[in-house]
Amino acid sequence: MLEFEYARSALKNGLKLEKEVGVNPYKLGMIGSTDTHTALSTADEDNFFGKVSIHEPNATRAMHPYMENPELDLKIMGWEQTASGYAAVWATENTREAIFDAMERRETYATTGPRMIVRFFGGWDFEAQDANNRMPARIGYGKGVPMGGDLRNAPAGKAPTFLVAALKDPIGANLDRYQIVKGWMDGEGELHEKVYDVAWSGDRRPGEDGKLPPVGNTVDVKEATWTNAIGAHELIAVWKDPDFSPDQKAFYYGRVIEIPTPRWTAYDAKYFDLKLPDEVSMTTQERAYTSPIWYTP
Amino acid sequence: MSKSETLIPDKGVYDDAIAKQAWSTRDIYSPYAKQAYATQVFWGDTHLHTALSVDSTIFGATLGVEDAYRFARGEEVRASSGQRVKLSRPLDFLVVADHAEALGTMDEMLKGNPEMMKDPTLKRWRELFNSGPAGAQEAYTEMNAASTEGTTPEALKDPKLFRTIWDNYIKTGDRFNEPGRFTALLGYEYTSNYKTNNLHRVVIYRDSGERVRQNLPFSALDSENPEELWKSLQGYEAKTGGQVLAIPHNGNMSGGMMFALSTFAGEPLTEAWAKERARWEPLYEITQMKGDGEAHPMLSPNDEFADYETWDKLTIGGLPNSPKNYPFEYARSALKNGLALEAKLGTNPFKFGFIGSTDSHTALPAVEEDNFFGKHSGVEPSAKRMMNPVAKVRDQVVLGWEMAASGYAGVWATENTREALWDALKRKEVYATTGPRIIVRFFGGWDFVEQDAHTRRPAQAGYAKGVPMGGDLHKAPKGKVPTFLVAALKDPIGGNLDRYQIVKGWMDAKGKLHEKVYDVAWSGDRKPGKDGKLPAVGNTVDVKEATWTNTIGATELIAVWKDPDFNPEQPAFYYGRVIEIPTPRWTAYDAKYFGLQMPPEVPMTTQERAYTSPIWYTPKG
Repeated sequence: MLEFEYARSALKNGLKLEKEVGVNPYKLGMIGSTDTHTALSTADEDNFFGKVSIHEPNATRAMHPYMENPELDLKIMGWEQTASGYAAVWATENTREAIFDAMERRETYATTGPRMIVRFFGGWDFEAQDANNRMPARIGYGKGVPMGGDLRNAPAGKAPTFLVAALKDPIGANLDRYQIVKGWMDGEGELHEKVYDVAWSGDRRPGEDGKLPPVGNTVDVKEATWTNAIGAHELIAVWKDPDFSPDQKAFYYGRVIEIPTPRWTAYDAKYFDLKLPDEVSMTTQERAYTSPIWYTP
Repeated sequence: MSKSETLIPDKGVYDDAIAKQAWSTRDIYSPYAKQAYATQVFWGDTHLHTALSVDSTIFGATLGVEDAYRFARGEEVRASSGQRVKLSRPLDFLVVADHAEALGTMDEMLKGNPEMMKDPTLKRWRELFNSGPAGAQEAYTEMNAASTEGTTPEALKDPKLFRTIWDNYIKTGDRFNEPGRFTALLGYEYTSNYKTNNLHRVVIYRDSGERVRQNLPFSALDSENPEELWKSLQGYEAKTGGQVLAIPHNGNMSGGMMFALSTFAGEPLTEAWAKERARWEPLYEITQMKGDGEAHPMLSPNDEFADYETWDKLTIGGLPNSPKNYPFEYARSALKNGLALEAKLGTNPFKFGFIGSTDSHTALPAVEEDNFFGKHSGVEPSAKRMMNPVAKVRDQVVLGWEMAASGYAGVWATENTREALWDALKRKEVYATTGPRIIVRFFGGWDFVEQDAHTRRPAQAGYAKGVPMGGDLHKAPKGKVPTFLVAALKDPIGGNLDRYQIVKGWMDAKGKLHEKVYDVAWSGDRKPGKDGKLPAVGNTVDVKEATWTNTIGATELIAVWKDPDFNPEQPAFYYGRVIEIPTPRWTAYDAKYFGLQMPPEVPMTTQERAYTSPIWYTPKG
């Protein structure tokens, strides 16, 4: 049952459970990590040392099964391994105490490897001018709560506003877009979700379906390289929920998407001079997920 | 498939043999596994003063050597003015370069050193200093007069005290030096103001205190002639087996003496002199708070970026400067003269690379535009500093707003240690910035092709097929012209990049010197106009709010450029200049913070930049 396996769905079910039992058991923040068994935390696409030591770089790892169930004829191939991820922790200093405290208060985010800097603040009074700033945290903490925080009891006539900012990994790819994922429970107890594009590179305009066109693709798969000729170095915006109902529980989290870059399989193919089958994906759009901010009436 | 996994032992010195071996390390899968070449830029300030410098104290500095190291390595401190301050990011290394002349003695006097307080004059001066700025000024005037008249009290010149201060200074450096994490290079400033002309040099050792303490620093009290400084450096190396170099700065205030075409005594230059100069002074501090020293607009009228933070009015001692001095004061011009001197003498005395540094006298290397703590403690952030004099010598005044919030040294090295950083300085694999931490690569060779720029690891092709910044190309192979692989990555929290330029200087067959600036990579789809000039990048600065957006400019620039005007018979040099998009100058941050209305002459935006060390082309083999 996929519904009980994925974060977004669990966050939605959490809203429902909170109504039923009085406490939200799935009030989760996000981190990424590797789960590597090689003693090597390598989540970079160009430096991926695999999930386990037999999948450390070698010419056959991509097409060597990672897991196999011969009875059911099920296989996960080596190339399906994900070069992901890292935990990002907003803290005052690099100590056990400070990092643990940040995790405990969920002021953390996940990335699939790149070290993007991501801010996500929610409050009632953010306005466009607050994004005209290179120090979003000053206003963010001054007028709102950071990722992992709570908003309660909307003041009369107000809707939640979010100050969002992302800075690319300096040696990584430019950014495609900053999205806010919203989940909520309506008056009937039905659960919903919606993804909003809130900041993006270039002068793209959402189409008639409300979707932003793709950012493009500069990847040279054969050479396992790309250029940062598309995308943005940084994104900053203030967004106001256009569909807010003060009586409905909700959560919001940020998702930051990079422009396409070579996947680790492309680096392997170049390095080992491999011809990989068509089903092997050779590009990726890496991303960050912030811990949510919850709204509780 | 056999893959070489051999790691090359790090010799810390670049040479062709190492470069060839480095190429083989391409065969290591992990691109981040240690390479034999410099893979990282380390950021630092090679020129910082603390309260141990007499003039720092006069302007109210109270922060000492320890504070300087703590601040540089990223800690928050309280500035002498009492304000809390911290760098946006730690520096990787620092040279505390206090003035050797009377090092630490003022500090001792102000602390009330008991031996000194037995002298009524010193006691009086201390009281004057403690009475406030007017008193301090009076004491300063008296001290200068005493120095001129030779009546400085003996207790202030006590050699025993000098030795104790020097030993402590060195010990503190050793204590803060953490190989791999933070490097405290030992050094000091030699401060010759001969005939009011700035002939200052920052002396930097490769060694630890054990060696360095064997000699006292050589000061302008020993001799105002820098040639004597070189002899003392030679003496140090001979005595201790250590290594040392010197970096001149502020040619712009040298009355034409910094890169003069004659010796200190006014004699014609000789090859022996040229060799000494080139040996001891492989670098020039091209940008700092007292102005930028790359080029002068009168010397480079076709270079629209040449007039950057220009300080050309005064010598360091406050006499008027003159345009006839400029050719002997600015880096580009000196590099050109160096080509002519090499032809004449056989050795180029002005074959120097570039670093930037602060020359701050606050113990705070704080030169970010939004975090600028001034040249000295009298001009730390305040509502008045803008229009207060930063320097007042005789009747000449330089106002606070004229200070440049500049610069830093970028050092390409294999690791963050005294040895690796010093070796990089010595081989000139270094560059200057006016503050931002732009990552800049600059390789020259004969065989770079377009495809070499189609990579995210320019260093691999760069070292394999060419030489890095600071290197040499000799004797063009038949039919070949120099090619350059250039790459720049913006400071992650700074402004985007406008363009990457190559500045070329050369000498023609008649011995005439020339220069030209080429745009080699730029943001967007701008096309050079009929005059060959690239249009300006635009401007997003909101001066009132002291902010900007990175909606123009590029996050990175990479290109291969081939010299279209090359003549294999003519000596030349090439260096890279990387220009950021416009951002608010420190004055805009001050105006916003203090709610000031600035006079129209105060510039409120800037285009910060990086200057790489040159690569020289020499026709002979």
